[in-house]
Amino acid sequence: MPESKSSATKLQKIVAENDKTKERSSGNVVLGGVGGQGVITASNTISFACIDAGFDVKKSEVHGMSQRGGSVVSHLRFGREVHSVMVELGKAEWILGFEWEEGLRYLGYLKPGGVAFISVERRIPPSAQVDRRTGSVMYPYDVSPPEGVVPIDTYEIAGSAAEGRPAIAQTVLLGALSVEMGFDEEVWRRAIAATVPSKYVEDNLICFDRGRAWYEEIKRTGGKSKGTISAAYGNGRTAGTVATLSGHAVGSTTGLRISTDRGKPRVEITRSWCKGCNICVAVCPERILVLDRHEIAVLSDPDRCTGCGLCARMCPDLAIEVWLDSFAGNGSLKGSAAKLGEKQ
Amino acid sequence: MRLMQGNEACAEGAIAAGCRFFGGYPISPSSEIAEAMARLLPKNGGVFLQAEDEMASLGAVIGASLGGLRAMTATSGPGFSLMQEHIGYSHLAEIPCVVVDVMRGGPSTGLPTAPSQGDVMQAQWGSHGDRSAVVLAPASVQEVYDFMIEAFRLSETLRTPVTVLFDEVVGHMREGVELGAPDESRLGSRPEPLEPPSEAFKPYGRDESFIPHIPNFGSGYRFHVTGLMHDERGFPTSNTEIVAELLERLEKKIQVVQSMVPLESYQMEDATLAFVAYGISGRTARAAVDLLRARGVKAGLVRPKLLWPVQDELIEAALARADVVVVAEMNRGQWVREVERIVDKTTLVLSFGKAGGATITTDELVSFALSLPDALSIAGSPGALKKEGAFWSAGAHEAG
Amino acid sequence: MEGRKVDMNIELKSKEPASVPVFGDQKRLLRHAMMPHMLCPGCGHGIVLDAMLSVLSDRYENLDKVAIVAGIGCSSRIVGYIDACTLHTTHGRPLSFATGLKLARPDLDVIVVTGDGDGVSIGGNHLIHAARRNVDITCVLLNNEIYGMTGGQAAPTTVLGAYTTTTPQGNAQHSFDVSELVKAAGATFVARTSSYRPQVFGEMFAQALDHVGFSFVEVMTDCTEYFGRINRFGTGPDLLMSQARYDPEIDADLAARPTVEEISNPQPVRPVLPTGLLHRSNRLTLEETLNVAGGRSSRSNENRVVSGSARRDL
Repeated sequence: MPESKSSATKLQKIVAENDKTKERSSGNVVLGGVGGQGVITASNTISFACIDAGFDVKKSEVHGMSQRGGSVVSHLRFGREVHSVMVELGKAEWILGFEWEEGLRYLGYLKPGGVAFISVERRIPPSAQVDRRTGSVMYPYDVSPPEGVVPIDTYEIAGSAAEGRPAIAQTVLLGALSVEMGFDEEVWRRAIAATVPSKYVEDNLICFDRGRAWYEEIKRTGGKSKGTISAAYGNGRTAGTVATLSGHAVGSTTGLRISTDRGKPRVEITRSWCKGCNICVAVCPERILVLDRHEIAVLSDPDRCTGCGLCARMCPDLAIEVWLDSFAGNGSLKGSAAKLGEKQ
Repeated sequence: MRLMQGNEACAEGAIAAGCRFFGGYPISPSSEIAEAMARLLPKNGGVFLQAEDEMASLGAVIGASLGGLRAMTATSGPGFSLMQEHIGYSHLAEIPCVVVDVMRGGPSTGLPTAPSQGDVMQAQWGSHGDRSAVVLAPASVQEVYDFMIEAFRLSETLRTPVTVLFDEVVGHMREGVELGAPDESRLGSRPEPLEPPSEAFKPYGRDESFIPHIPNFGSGYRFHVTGLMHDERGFPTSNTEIVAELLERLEKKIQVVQSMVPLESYQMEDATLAFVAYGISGRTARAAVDLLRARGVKAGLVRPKLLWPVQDELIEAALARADVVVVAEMNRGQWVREVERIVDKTTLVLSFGKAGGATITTDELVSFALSLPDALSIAGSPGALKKEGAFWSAGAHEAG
Repeated sequence: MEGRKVDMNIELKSKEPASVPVFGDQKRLLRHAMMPHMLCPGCGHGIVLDAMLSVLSDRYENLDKVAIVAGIGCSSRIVGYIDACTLHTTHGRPLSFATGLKLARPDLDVIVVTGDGDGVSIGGNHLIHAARRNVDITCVLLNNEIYGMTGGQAAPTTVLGAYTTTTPQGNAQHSFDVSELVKAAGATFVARTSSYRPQVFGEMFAQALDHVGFSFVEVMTDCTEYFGRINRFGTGPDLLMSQARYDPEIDADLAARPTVEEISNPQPVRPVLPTGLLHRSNRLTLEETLNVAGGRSSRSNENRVVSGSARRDL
């Protein structure tokens, strides 16, 4: 009897798996992001998982012209037999956006009823900048996510596992996707282990688990529990995005309180030019430059700046300028500097 | 009237056209052009530079042209191959220059001192990408002189590279030449910039003539010139619409040349048998027409002076009455494809191609023409004749 | 742009400066509409661009009479960001375009910006011939020891044993010492610097601009995305710091690094090349020998052996 019960369970399992396989006899994924975010690695991971699950896979990659920081898109198709590598418009079951705008712009590929997991990470590619003189950008900050879009604050969800490494946090997207794609969890874990550099596997798996758990919770509660879709979106917007926007528009200006003999040093960082290379962080003798969560240089402790200008000299992006402002009373330095000019 | 070699007349024509820079690398059978320019340019306030290779030659020419000088180079087949990239650059960046190719037998090093018309297709298609070329084909020493002036006029006014294509025979032949100084209208000039220097200046701005008004370097304008696809400001772009528009404008600009160069028609009023030949072969064909007329054959000649862009309408009209068209050229049949494309489908087009390093003779063309009625009746129909190709290939050899 | 500078000067003279930049106002010579540039994060080329702008900004009110010619590659793309007469030519040929331009317009200051692939590999012939002719142009060669733009393939400057995308087992070819090559070819001014010391580069670049004849400044820079990553040299800051090897005093303070050069070494060891002014001499320039120097007769090198007017002595 136990044997027959076991057989019945097996049968049920097989039927269920067949159903699952039938359901997932093929699929299309479009991945979009910015160079350096791990788009290609992630598409390799998904490919590996599909092969492991017994599918034929075809994948294309388009790298942007700029070798890092440019737009990157990858099309991935799997099934019993795949002929063409390109996903047709409106035929993708899933979209993975590693960057907010880059994810949104591929929504045309999404099938009705499909799901687009889009990270709320913001990396503004040079091509999105309308007027690069003023630094103003054409960027969909205020776009409400259309139906089917699941905004994910990958960095927030990844937490400690990706501290200071936003690229690793993107594995949260794979965790969420894995819930929808329905392969065995172990298939995914093997795929990550096989495609990610060995020293990062552990952290990637943690991010994967967190993404998976987060999205399962979203599905279970219908997006009403903590970490709901709208909350995630909201978090992403408020976690520096609004501030970033103004930074992009005029260049972030950091006033200084410290005085030197020559004047008050003031560091201006043109955020839209900074590519986050870390050189200023490394060369600053006072160690007061850091990268923010968007990997853009910011002055952590302006008061300690001596105005040596080494960061400006060594900035490969020409994004830093160091000014010496005349002493002119209190208040905003920029304002006072301007007033000084007017009065005299 | 002076007795002069074609290559020397080429240099004289260039000087008369205002050419003040020559960058070149020695290669037979074009070397006399460089030698003559080395003699003439310093006397005329110009600069002669013998470069390290053909790429450098044309590079220096384009650089000098951007500096405001009329500039040229001269070469032959192997060097012409090496120059193709810079010809494409000159076309896309719209920097005027004149390239002379004195054709020798090819492919490869081939026949350095034997004539050929084998570079005809290369002159149009040698540089990669979509591009229409401007190619002139003089047939005499006098025409070499005159066509050099015309080449500079076209190049400067349209801001595009112009190739002057002739063969070893024309290059080395000595004939009487009238070295008349051209008047202003024959010299042409570069379009002047339309606006004063400003940050918003568009060197490649649109114009009804399709020709950009690009200033010379050092004239107070600061701008960018690139061989990448560019927008009106000259800066690189990969915007497909802007690129398509640029290519469209360049194409329209080049096609204008069709109406700028006349076509030679000889005895075509009542001709049923028409030769189409260019360069030195055109002269042979002209003599053949006279001999055939003496024998009662209504023969005629159409001689294009402009090989590219092809003057479709002019040639179609000129050949409208002919039943049989024989395209005689010193290669294995290149430009014949253009004639086949143009003429009415009922017209029989035959290729008289002769490659190997010898010129086509008048006798060959006359015998070929006289054997046509028999050959056509044996073959049954013109279509069958063409398909079998028996006559096609036998023509040059047996007749010779 | 020039207007802006003039205004600023007047202000500086007549009023107490409200706000002054620590390192000059070189950004006035930048084509702001083209920024941010297309170089990768940490690419040393950007530092060289900034240093070049500094020198040009000190010397020129505007760059109307300055032509900057470049070939193809990451290095060559930096000219597009400079508000001068800029010419982006074909791969390897900028020196030939520049030679023609200079002979046609001796009154222009002609600067060539090239890279190691562009200038030494495909354009190596033009480089030695430009040096041989002693044409009066300044050539800045950015040497990052690899082909960056095409995806990190080996260059003729890639050291023996280095890993690139086309040398997965380590480079089997020896590399050029570019400055020595150019010196041997007859250049009359040869200097080598690094992006680690932009102020030294600036000094050499300024001297090169002053020099009459073919002046050559090689700048060692680093390709972070390919050379650095493939050879496990670390990221932008690590690569930049590693350039201290050209600077013995600084280098002595840094941690010892291996000195054995062999193919089997997992990390290729790049030689410590001499930097600074390597060679300076005087010869007639091509413009002088062709007698087209024209307006440039006022320019002369100090202690010039043969003056520009000595054409009859030839």
